[in-house]
Amino acid sequence: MVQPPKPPVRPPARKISVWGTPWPLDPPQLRVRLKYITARFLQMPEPRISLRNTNEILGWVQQMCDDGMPRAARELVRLAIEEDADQRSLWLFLIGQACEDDNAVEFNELQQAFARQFPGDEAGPMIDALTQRFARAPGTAVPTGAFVSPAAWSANTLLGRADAGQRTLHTAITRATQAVLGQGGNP
Amino acid sequence: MTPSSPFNPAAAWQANPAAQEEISGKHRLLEKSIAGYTPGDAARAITQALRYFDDNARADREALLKSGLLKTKPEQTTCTWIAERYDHLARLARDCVMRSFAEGSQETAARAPAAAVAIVLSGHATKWRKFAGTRPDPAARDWLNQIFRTATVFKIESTVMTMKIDDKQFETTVEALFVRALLLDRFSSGNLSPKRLEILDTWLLAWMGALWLTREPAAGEPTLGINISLPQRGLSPHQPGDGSQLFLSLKPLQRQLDRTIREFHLGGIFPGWGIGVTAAMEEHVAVIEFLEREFTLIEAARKQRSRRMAIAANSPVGVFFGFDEICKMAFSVERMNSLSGGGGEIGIRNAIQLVDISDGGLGLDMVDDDARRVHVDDLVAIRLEKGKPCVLGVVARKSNLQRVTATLIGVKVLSKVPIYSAMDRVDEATNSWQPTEGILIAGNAEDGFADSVILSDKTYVANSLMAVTLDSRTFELQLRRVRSQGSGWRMAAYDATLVG
Repeated sequence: MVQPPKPPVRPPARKISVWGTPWPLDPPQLRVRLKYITARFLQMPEPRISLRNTNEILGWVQQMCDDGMPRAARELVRLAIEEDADQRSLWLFLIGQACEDDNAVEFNELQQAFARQFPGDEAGPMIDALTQRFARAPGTAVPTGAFVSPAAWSANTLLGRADAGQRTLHTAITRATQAVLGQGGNP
Repeated sequence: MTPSSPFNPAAAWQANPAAQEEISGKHRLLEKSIAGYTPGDAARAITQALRYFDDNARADREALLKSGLLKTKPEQTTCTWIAERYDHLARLARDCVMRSFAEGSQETAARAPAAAVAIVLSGHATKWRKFAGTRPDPAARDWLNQIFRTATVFKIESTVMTMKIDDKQFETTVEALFVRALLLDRFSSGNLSPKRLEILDTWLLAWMGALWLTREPAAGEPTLGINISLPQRGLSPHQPGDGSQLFLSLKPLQRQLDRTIREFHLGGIFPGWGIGVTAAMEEHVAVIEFLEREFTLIEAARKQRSRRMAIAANSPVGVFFGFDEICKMAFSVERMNSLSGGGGEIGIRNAIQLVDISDGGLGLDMVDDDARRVHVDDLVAIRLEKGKPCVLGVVARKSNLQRVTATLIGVKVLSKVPIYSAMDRVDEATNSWQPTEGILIAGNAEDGFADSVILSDKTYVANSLMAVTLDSRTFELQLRRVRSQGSGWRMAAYDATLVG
């Protein structure tokens, strides 16, 4: 019996990213996107591969945060999640950052997207508890205690970077600075 | 004679002095005849002259912006000519504004278009003066404020009108154009190249809907403020009690920048027109990074209000140049009570004065001849007051001051309290510890990962091991990436471990 020919495989007309934004499929648009990522994040000569390497991304993101570029760091994590949404550590890092920045809008968006991506994840109850941090009148202080973003979600911990020596030296430099200030240093 | 190659971009554009003279002549003619026009006709005539100039000088403007550097005499002359044309039209437009608002003027409908064209031209002139390297017009900001103040009194600042700028139609208001001119004024004093400033201006035009001022600062948000009675200040980070009457919240601008970045993620070049369409992606990214730095500085200025330095401007300061001189002299206890600086080795002969100071940077007034010996990215230490330690910074820019023989040296502050320390480094050739010196800089992060060490580039070796004793404890530092560098110095991140 002759099989009817299979219909040709057509590329999807439109693809939506995990953030609900359209994903460029036209080759010229895709080229502009990749050129942009390469120019913006010089560490990545081959962005589509690098964006899937969770540890590498976390390392770069931590460097950017260290260098005072948190906006670029968040953008990189979002791009990496867009490329491969299964990178759970990146989600947790981003949620932790939204808490640190006290950004309710971003936290809400992340919380919902995370629940869709990882239903029943063990971090779910903690994230739910964190929502209480934002359930307060505008302008009031952040509640302390249980509603703090876990330290385990910081890039340093996710990377397994030891920070005891770093902290101690920072404290020593700060003390030396204060000693200079005590002698009439620059305010 | 060798024919010029069509593939040589320098040969593709040639100045046309005859065409330039024809346009200048038309402007002179307009100046003579405009006094006889009604304010409405005058505003229309200036708008037409602007369009004619935009259309006929487009090739010149685009060629200059694309080449990026003004290398030849014709390029410099053309750039200066364009700046002069915008200045000339701006002067005519200001007179027209004054006439349209004058007592007894019947043409009330001409007021908003007259103010709009005057403000647009003021923005263009600021931008092209920067491109041409000419000094900023000292009266321009005062005029700009005066036009907006008058527009506010007559309640026409929010009148929506259609304007054609650079071949594109925009729905705009006097207020939005005023904000664009203020932002151009602020950004053109930075280190953006002409092409990047032009890309930024295209973005500002595309963001026009978000460029509005408020009469009250946004609570708890970083905000820029403007005191329209004080033209010296311009648009600057708002601090309570600084006398600002109008405010520009940073949030709408940040949202517009996010929207712009999103457009690049989607594979488009924002906004899809203007010189940016053909510019390299690196140029767009440089503008994004410039704006992010600006926003960070504005946010930091708000948080660090309590740490502002009360130092009188125009006071003499002691300045030391280069890593070696700084280590030798700037931290010396004997020199603490003196404002005599260094620089003898590089030929600095004259006293240096402080122009202004903020949390993130300071400006130094130097004699031109001395300033020529100082370069961008040079490491400097500045003693602002006798008996106080030096502030450590890096030269970020050099620009002309209003006085003819003086140059403004812009310094980005790296640390207000740098810590000099004797150190040891591993010499790989002999596999032994060798003494060296370095400067420790505390970062903002409490975990210490934002801290840095500054070393001489003679001793810096990538990823090498160093040791420092501080607070009676010894730490080993594994050098990591270089955060910043210049002639003779490197500022590197490190991973620290406590020894013993």
